[in-house]
This record gives sequence, C-alpha cells and structure tokens, in this order.
Amino acid sequence: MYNTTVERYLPNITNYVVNGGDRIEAIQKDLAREDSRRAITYLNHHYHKTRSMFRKGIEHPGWRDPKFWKVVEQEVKSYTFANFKRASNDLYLKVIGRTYLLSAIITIICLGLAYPLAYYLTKLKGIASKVALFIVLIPLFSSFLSRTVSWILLLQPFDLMNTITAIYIGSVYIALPLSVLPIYLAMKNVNTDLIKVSTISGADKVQTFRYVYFPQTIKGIANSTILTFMSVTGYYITPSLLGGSKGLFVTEQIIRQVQYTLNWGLASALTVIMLATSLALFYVYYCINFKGDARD
Amino acid sequence: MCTTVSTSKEMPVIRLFSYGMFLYLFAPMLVIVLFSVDGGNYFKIADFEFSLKWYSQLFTDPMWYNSIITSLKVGITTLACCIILSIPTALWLNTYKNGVVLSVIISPIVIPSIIIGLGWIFFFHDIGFNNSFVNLVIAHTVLCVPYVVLMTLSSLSNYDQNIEKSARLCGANSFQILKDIQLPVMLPGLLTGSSLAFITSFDEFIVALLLLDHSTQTLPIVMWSYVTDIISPSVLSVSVIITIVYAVLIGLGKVNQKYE
Repeated sequence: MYNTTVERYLPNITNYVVNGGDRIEAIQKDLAREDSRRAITYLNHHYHKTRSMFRKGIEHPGWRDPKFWKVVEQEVKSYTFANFKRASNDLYLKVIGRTYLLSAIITIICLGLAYPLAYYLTKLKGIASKVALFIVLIPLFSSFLSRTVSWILLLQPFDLMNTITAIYIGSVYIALPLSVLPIYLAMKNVNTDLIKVSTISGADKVQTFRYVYFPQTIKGIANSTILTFMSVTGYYITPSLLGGSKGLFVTEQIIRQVQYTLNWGLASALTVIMLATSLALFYVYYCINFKGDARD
Repeated sequence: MCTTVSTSKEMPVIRLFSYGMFLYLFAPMLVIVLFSVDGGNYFKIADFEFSLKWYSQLFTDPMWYNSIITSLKVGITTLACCIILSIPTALWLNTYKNGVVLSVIISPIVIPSIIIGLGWIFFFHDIGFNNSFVNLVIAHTVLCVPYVVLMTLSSLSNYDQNIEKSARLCGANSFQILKDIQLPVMLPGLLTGSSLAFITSFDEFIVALLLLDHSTQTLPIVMWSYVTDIISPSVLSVSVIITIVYAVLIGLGKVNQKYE
C-alpha cells in the first residue's frame, strides 16, 4: 500500500501533517534521510513538483504550496483517532464547550423573549395580527449578512462592537423569529374550552396559566428550543463579524482549519463532535413531531 | 394571564414588551434602508445626504454584477434539481407516510450547514471532482430539497387517491395521471417551496465559502469580502434589493396558496 510507503520514508513530514509542529525542522530531517527518495515517486505522481522540491532542498517554493501538504495528508491517511485526541485537547474542548454554553444562553434569552411575544401575537385580531406577524418575520426575509451588517452600524456608536454583548444582541435578533414561530403555532392550537372550564371552576389566572395553558404549549417550547439551539450552534457570520473574529464558536474554528491551516482531519473531528450533538437533538425533535404521525 | 376574555388591550405589560420587541426586530431594517441612500461615507445621521450612487454601483462594478449572475445561475439550477427530485419523493411519502424517511430528508433544515458543507468538500476532494459550480449545485440541492418536499407534501395532504384510481380504471397512463391529476394538486406547494428553496440557495454562505474557488463567487461571498475589512455602503443597497426580492417571492407563494 502506498500510504504506508509515504509514512515509512517520510516519517517527520508525516508526523508534522498528522500532529503539527515545526514544518521546517520536519522537512530538513526528511531531506537528510537517504531513503526518502522512495516516497518521492509516489508523491510525484499526485503532485508533480515533488521531485524538484527534494532535489533543490528547502529553498524550493513548492514547500509553501498548501496543495503539497494536502497530497501528503491524503497519502498518509489511515484510520486513526489521533484527530479526536487533538480535538479533545484543552483548546478545542474549550471551544466546543463555549459554543454550547453561548448557544444555550442565547436560546434561553430567545425563549424568554419569544413566549410573551408569541402570546401577544395570538391575542391580536384582524389586520393587526397580520402586520405584527410580518414584523416578527421580517428578519427572515432579508439576507443573513445584511442582518448582521445592520447591527454593526447600530452597535458602533455605543462602543459595543467586538464584545460578547454584541454577539448576544445579534444572535438573539437572528434567532428570535425562529423561536417565536413554533411557540406561536402551539398557542394558536390551545384548546380555549379548557381555559373556560378552569375559570368557571374557580381557578385564578395564575393557576389557569400554570395548570391549563402552559402544559398545552410545552410541545411548542420544546420545538422552539431545539430549533433555536441547533441553528445557533452553526452560526459563523454573526459571531465572527460582531465578536471580532475571536474564534469563540466552533464553526469559526472548523472553517479556520479547512481554509488556513489545512488540517482537514482536525476539522472533521470537530465536525463529528458537532454532528453527534445535532443528531441527538434531532432524534428528540423527531420523537416529538413525527413518531406519533408515523404510527397513525 | 390568560382567560378567554382577555384581549390585547388588557395586558399593558405584555403589550409594551411586544412593542419593544417589534422595534428590536424592525430597527435594523430601517437602518439599512436609511444608510443605503446616504451619499456620505461614514454612516452618520448628521451628514446625511440623499443619493442613489450605491445602487448605481451595483450595475457598474463588475464584481457585484458577476456575483449576482453566478448566484442566479446556482439558484436556478438548484431549484430545477430540487423540483425534479421533490415530485416523486413527495408522492411516495404521501402514499407511504414514512416518518424516518421524512425526517432524514428534512434534517438539512436543522443540522448546521457546516456539517453538510464539510462532508461534501471531503467527498468531492476524494473522488477528485473539481467543478466548483456543479459541486455547489449538488450541495445546495441537499440543503434546499427539504423546503420543496415539505410544502409539496402539505399540498398533497387533501389529495384523494380515489381520483387517481378511477383515472387508471378509465385507461389513463402514468404520465397522464401525473400531468392532469397529481401536478395540479401539488402546484401551490411546489411554488411556495420553490421560492423558499431559491432564497435558501441565494442566501447560503458557509457551504459556498467552503466549495467555491476564486473564479466563481456567489453574492454572499462578495458581500462578505466587502464587509470584513471595511463596510462598503454598496452592501446595504444590495441588502435592500435582496429584501424586496425575497418579500416578493414569499408574497407570491402566499398569494398562490390563497388562490388555491
């Protein structure tokens, strides 16, 4: 198998590609090896500058070409958990933890704002309800980027740019329509007869809300929580424009790994961790919404 | 808090709160419209002067012009693929009502698009297929198909299978049934879903960022490059136009459903 050939004859470069470290040192060490030329034939087949790179030594510009490193990475690719080990080191665990913490906070803020707002929307009648619903949904009509850009313009005079507050304000703004809709739909379907019964039976407003109204909207709240949380964990534009490219969200890290450091293995390890969470949440969503229908 | 007699007038706290929320949701739109017709460069209300120069720039600057064309091409091709895939899928799902298949198809709506984008970039890299336009259309089709399938399914919900059976008994072939019975029923949902799918593809950023090379760039990518170092006001004029087009598309979908 050729991939073991590259690994055997270019051990330092392989080590650099898989684990990172000092690239120049790795190239120098492998150039000094006598048998390194055996791997060149394989690599030259995929990346045709390889032979002259090895002949001319470290001065050859090809060493700086990301394509070469991508080719090496492909050649040495074997199934390994090394990327998960790297993904689970402190830095990346922190990024993932922080993404979920921020997303959870944003989701909770959204729910807190969406519940009374959705309640108000259900109480409106006629043309007023149409206009109000239109205003709530208007952020969905505009492009994702322009929504964030307008917050840059609004937050700049208050010196809030590049702060965590800016991320909260922008993300809540973008996620709010998504979290209002499921709650609104659930509230529309609340059985009003039950509320009449509870009022007639002598329950006060708080009791009616606690025991009759609220339980009927729980499905809407669950849907809204899952949808909001899942979409917020995938945000890239808002945190990187409003938060000043600090790399707070895991999506920013993944795109950085894919585009700049070209460590695709690490990027996919981070993505798999994200996917696992998403699938778990999606299963909950499926159970809430589709399981009943499928049995009917 | 919630007896049947309570109307919107009787809850001053919730009403005030909701007005605040409406302002929060509407203010950014106003800001965009305001600054897109401002001739000054510095986004200050004090030196506001009315000018349409940022709008005219969209038609003169080749970067904007080309990216809009690219986005339209990607969007329309994606839409065609989505419609072709959705019609048989929706018909099948309407007959067999399989919750597992349905949830797999709609999962791209809820799963973060970076996961789908990364999967496609690895796949295309491994099979060595480097046509970035085709790659993007394939990836966008996966992201957009759920909207068309869902909307078409909702149109099919009151579809009477007996009509199809009687047509078959009268000697209609499958193509005639599709053309004369099934398509007219599906049409409103298909159109609503199509407008949503087109918007999704037109607005998609992360997958395009991962899959496109420097020669073909869609509108969100160009907008992004105008936003990251310094905000060019032409981004705002693009946003206003996009918002109007989206509102018209969604409005068309709604009118169409009402007509039905």
